[in-house]
Amino acid sequence: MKQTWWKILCVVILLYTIIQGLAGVIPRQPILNETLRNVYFHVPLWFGMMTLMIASAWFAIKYLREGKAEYDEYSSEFANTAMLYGVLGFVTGAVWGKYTWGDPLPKDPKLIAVEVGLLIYAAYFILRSSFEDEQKKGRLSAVYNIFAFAAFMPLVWILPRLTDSLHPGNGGNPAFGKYDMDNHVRMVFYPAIIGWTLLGVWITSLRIRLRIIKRLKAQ
Amino acid sequence: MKKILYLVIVNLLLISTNIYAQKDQETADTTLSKVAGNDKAATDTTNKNEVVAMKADSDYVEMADKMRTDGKIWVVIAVITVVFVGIIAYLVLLDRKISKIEKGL
Repeated sequence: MKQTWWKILCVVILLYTIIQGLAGVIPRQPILNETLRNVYFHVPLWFGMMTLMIASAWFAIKYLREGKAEYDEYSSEFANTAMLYGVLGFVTGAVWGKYTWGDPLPKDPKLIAVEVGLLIYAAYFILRSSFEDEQKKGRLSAVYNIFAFAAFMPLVWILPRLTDSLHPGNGGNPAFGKYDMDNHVRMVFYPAIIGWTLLGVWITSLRIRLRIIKRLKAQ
Repeated sequence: MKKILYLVIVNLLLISTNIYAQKDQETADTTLSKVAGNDKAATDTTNKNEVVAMKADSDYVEMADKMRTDGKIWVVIAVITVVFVGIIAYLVLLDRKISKIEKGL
């Protein structure tokens, strides 16, 4: 994780996302207008959050199987950055919604599901901070992490699709399919997902390294 | 050494913003004087000639106008890019600091 090439790649992709995302060609649509460009900044935050949560759950499983203290650190720090991305995605979504749906927090199944999901993850940190014993803390929070992951995924990605939602791709709307996106948009959108995810991994790696330093100093 | 470098960078940034501000002030001044000149021009013909000459001048001066066209969206892009580069620079410095501490352990 200490190599630099993927960090440089992350910066280059994100610079491309910002410049091309703001200056590039997008389809002309009513109501959405230029706000379609938010797709390069708001949506990749959720994709990045997903990837970070998967990593967090993965290391939780690894911790339970092998019991190494560093896996617990990886797991909790990935969850930490995932939380940051989730909150940022929520706030950017509220701003976007205010000017396109006319309400920052409409009663939308996806929004409610995400609120519940983020609260479940918030409980993870409260649970962690309530143990003194490192092993007990590690084991119980790893189990809870897996539960939180298993609850979050269907809540946010499956349940809203069974009802009507304002988000595209839910309640019978096509996902960002034929109407919202054209190939110009895709040229920026897909790299943007990779770039924002890499940025999240970078921040997480810094936090993990700090944690390891702290642990070694304490010993 | 590092502090001096930071100071130089900050100074450069300040100077560059100053230059831009001055340029904007100049363009604002010329447009203002143009408007004022037009009012007088109705009564004074010599003044009118001056205005025409000034207009002709300002029309033919070539400037780096790219940042001022397209509804000035390029200015926004520049600002966001600067913010982003700043955050990344911060991350890079933090990364280096942690690497140094790791070596010391």
